[in-house]
Amino acid sequence: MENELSGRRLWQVAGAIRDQLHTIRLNRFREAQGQVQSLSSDLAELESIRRKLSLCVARGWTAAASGLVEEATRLFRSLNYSSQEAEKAVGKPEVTVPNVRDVLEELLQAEEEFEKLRYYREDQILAIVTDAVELEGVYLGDFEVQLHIAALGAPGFRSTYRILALDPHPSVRNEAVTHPHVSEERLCAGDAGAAIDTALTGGRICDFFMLVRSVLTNYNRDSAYVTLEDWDGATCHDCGSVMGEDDTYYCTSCDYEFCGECSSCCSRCGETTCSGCLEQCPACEDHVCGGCMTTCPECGRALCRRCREEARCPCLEEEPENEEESNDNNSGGIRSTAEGGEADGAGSDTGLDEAAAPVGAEASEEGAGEDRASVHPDRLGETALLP
Amino acid sequence: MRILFINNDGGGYADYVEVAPGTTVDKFFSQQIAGGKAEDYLIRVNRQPVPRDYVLQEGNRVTITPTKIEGAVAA
Repeated sequence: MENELSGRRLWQVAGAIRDQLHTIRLNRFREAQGQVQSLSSDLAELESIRRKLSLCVARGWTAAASGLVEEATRLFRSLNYSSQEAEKAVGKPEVTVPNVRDVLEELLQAEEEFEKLRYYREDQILAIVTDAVELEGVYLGDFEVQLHIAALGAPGFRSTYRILALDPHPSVRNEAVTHPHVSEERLCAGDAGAAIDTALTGGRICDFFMLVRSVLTNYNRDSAYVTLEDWDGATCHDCGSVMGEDDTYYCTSCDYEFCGECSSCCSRCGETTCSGCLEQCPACEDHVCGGCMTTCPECGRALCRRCREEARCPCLEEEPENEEESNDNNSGGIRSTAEGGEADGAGSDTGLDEAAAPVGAEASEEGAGEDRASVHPDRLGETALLP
Repeated sequence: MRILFINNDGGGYADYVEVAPGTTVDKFFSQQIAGGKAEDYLIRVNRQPVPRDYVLQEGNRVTITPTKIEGAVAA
């Protein structure tokens, strides 16, 4: 096959890998150079301050000296940081670049460890294929681990390798997740991260492939893009139907997941909530979540916050009706009294009396109303408990 | 005697270590990977699989790679 490695091609690939490893080594020194340069610049500035400060002290220029001391204080902070960074940069482990023969032996070992070692010449990609992976009864298919040789020299190794699902069985919840620890062809190496970086830096290509395979053939349920339990889709906590990623809703009240049919949202705050966690406000009849429900300060009935703020509890709305009824009952008698008063005091300018009588009656009625307000509406028919 | 030991369990660093003559691979593994089971690792000497009673030689290159490593979700 064109992609298989043999003889001369193996040497070429080994040479290309070694060149990239040399670049890595050079980059390390380049980084160290940058950090040392930065520290050196700070030290030069410090020396400048020292000279100026000596001059100021000699000539008694205290104001200028004060400014220089402030400058020096700021510089010491910067020096501290650049000193630490420089120490870190020069303290990194030495990158030993293997010779081409060592790299070649790595490739030969990889050919023995893995049945198929491929090389995509155009893209300079070296790849192995794993056996079919099955984790806890979930079949995931086989994977191709692609190492991009040209990207080896790039810092961080983030774009250096990809994991392609050759027989994809992605999760129902997220098609980009073809393995619990692979999303969008990127492996989250977890505990293998450091070892993978070290293997690549040292040109131990076979070790790299073996480490990646060790991650792919293991399952960490505590840190997976999609857990195997949900691989075929999570089930609605209410109706039990299997949900895809786009049809999964998380209830912020009970922390369970629901399908679109069984989920809703609070009419007040808009939070996604399952139907079971919504309560209906007796005043406005809107469905709200527990966080938006409160109680009426008068009767203690559950009420949404808006209705409480607007005093729309049914218990408060019943009171004016009761007052009105009482007003109707008593004002009839009052009117008759007032009318009688008018008949008796005809001609006298006692408009105030007419006005006063109802007012007084209203006042007394209000007082009675106030007394009634202190009695729960449900107990109005009982013997009055007035002081 | 001195051998090159590459421990892919952890940081993956390679270093020369001193071992007593006559040390077998099995014994060396027990010394280096405390509490580990050999069946959970790939052990290679000079890039080749060897029996557990293989006696290490001066200059051998020994690699130990775990077969089960926990991946994770990117932060």
